[in-house]
Amino acid sequence: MNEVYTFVNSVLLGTTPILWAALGCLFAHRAGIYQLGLEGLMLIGAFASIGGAVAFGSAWTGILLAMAVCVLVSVVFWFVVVILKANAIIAGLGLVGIGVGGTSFLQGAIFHTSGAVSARAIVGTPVSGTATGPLSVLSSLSLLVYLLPVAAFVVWVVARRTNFGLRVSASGQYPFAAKAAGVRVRLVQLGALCITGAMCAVGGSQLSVGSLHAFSYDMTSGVGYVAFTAVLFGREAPWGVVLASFIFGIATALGIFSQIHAIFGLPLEFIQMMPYIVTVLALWFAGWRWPQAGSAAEGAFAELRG
Amino acid sequence: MIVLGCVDVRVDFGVTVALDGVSLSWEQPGAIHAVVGQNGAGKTTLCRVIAGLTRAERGEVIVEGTEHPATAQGRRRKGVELVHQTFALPPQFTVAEALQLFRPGTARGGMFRRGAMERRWAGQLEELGFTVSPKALIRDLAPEQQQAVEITRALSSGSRVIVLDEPTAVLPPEAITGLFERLRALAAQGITFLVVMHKLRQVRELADTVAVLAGGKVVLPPTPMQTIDDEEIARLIMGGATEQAVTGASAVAMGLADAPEGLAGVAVPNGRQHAGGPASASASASASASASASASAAAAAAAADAAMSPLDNSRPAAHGAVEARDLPGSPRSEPAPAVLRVVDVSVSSIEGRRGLRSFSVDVRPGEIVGIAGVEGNGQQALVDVVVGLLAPRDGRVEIGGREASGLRIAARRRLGLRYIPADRQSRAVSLSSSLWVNAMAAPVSSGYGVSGSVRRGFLSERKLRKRGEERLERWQVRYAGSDQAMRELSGGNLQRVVLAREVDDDARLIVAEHPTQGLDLGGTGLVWEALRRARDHQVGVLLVSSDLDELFALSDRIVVILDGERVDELRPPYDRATLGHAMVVGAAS
Repeated sequence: MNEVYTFVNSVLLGTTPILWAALGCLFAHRAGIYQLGLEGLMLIGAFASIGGAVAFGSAWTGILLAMAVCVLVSVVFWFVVVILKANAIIAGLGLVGIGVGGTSFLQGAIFHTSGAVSARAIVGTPVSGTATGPLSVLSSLSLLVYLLPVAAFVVWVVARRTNFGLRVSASGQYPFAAKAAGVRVRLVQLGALCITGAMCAVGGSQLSVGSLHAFSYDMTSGVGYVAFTAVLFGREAPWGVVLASFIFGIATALGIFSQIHAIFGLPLEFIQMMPYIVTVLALWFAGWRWPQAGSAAEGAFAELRG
Repeated sequence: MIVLGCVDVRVDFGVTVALDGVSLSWEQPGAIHAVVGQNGAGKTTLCRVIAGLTRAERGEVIVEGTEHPATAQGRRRKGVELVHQTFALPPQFTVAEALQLFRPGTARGGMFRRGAMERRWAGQLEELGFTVSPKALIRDLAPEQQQAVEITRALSSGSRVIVLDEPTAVLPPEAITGLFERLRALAAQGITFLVVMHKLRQVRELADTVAVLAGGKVVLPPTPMQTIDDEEIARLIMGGATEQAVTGASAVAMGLADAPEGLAGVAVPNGRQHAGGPASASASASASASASASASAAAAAAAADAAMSPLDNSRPAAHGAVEARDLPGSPRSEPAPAVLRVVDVSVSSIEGRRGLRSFSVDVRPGEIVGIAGVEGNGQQALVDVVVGLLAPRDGRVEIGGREASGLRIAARRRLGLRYIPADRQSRAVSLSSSLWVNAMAAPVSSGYGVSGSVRRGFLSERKLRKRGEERLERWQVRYAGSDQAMRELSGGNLQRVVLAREVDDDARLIVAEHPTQGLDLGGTGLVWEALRRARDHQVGVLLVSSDLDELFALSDRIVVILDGERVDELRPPYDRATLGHAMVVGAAS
């Protein structure tokens, strides 16, 4: 029984960073921008929150700092992709590179270490120290986990029940219509990217000040890409993204679980591949089941200038 | 008071001038004002400038007596609404969401409840007499329903001036009457409409005044319909744009008959060659166009008479077909083996596309077979099966006597299959590629007609480009350089590029799908003439169209499709009533 509790706990732990980033990335996707730089944003967020926690002695200040930094980075990303019209995929990969290299460089420059930077200030854990019983599911989960349902609900309201949400979708699906409706497509895209940045910062913070209480080189190890996939797999719908993130979270937890318990005698390496195999399968399924539409929209957009 | 107008508006698109010092003014409110002109005459640009969506280099726009500079950057102008030719509605939105996007005003704090929002828009739609569910997805709506949403959207702004850019181009014939009634009712309530249209018959039916644009200039200021006749308007439309319009019908005659690569050597029995003669003469001399003003007017009349018959509804219905049949030495005297055989083909219906049920049709060389039917009765599936985009569930397709079911598109093209798709922008061309690439892409990728351009297994870009340019020139595509991107061309010019690629020497079977949809008179004439010439050169043509005039003018036979089934076959002389009955009810028996 205890193993089940531990497993559920690690599912929540695995899902949380994915879901925060994916819920944010949902806005970028709906606005028609493939933000492939989630991985980089999350790393920057993880590093900035640890840095803030060390400097100011408060994890929440650290998270706010992380959000500010990631929003700033997103503005730059917007400028490069939307204004300078760089390819979003390439720019996203560049952002990942900056995230990995930049945090590693700053880690050495500021903390003079290439190992882990740990912070004493951490995010509160409402239930802690319970090693057994049903409560152990919630044991030592940070507040950022508890905030997830709220975040998901707010994302749903903003995306599906506000004028801003409609403008974001129109800008992504059919900019021609958005322009005709008087929507300033570029500004809407800026807003969407900033939301993405801020939420990625929270996702990254969950990894550092939220659970490990430390930052180490490339600590996201692919979570950002998984979040990106979750948005595709969830068809850019808030509840779809929640569901997809949980599927990936479960796959991640299986990987951790298998390090302790052998599953059906499968090799450990294979189990650790699970999250990534699931990701590939999910992408294939999404592409097969829900092919992309919209060439007509692009054609129509071509007649607009400026 | 000037209810709508513009003063000295100029718009450039790169090297081309779209509007050149256009001044127009309409004074009568609560009326329907038409603007007509060829493709590329600047009508759409004018609409966009008036609505404030395109920035003009200079000039002013007047809306209900107020002057606005036309040079403001892409912001919508207050008091005037544009209903686009391509509907500006996001396809995956619901009707209510789309309307909400355009009129966010009433949402408290930018947030809304779905139910309340849907009720509000349902009320608006109902008030205007439209039956569209606010919950329906835009992409599931018929064109006339999308248009209804657009008009609702435009009127809900409180604007009293509505600009409609080719409102009839996308509508099936049966929906046009409804639209006209609605517009007249709204005009009676004081709404002023500015309507861009192609078909003079429709202008006559709908509009109170007409203005003509040609080559970016005003050639006729707004004139009451009662004081001008169709011939005069047609002359202004054609005359203003000189060679392009005049030679629409004869371009092909000239191109195909004289070009080195043309369908050479075959004697062409063609009644219109004579009519084409003076027209082409005036075209080649048109560098000094004004020199032969009377000649070009005569040519325009001849061209209009011969090929521009969409202009004139009163001509005998079977004019074209009968004439072709009566030609001396018609090659169709002995039956040839079919170039296309579709035998008992069935295709499953899927969401948004009707399938086929045991459908059969033959096309013999030198024959145009029309497919008539109300939109969405399986035409799409038939075309897709023939061109190789869709595998039939059951049945056989033979092209040039060969079983084609297992053949890829390239292999079908090598057998002489050519395709003029309805959706030009996404199926027919690549908008971002250059003109010569568009003209040569299909031959290169299918591996025909490029033998002279290959050296040691490598393609020579220089030679391909030259061949592409030859094709473009033979079809009189107007362009600055063959490296220009496709998207810079206007609709009619774009279709010329498609024709340049699809109607070539190696063609044996042409599938033409709504080939003149959205084209002006000149463009329509060109396409018709191209298909007729192809027929005269023993090419088989499968013509899918919802324009009955077009079917009557071109088809040697008309096969009627209803609910995926072949319900009737008609031969000339055609009769509107019989065909209409067959399209809706099935065979008249």
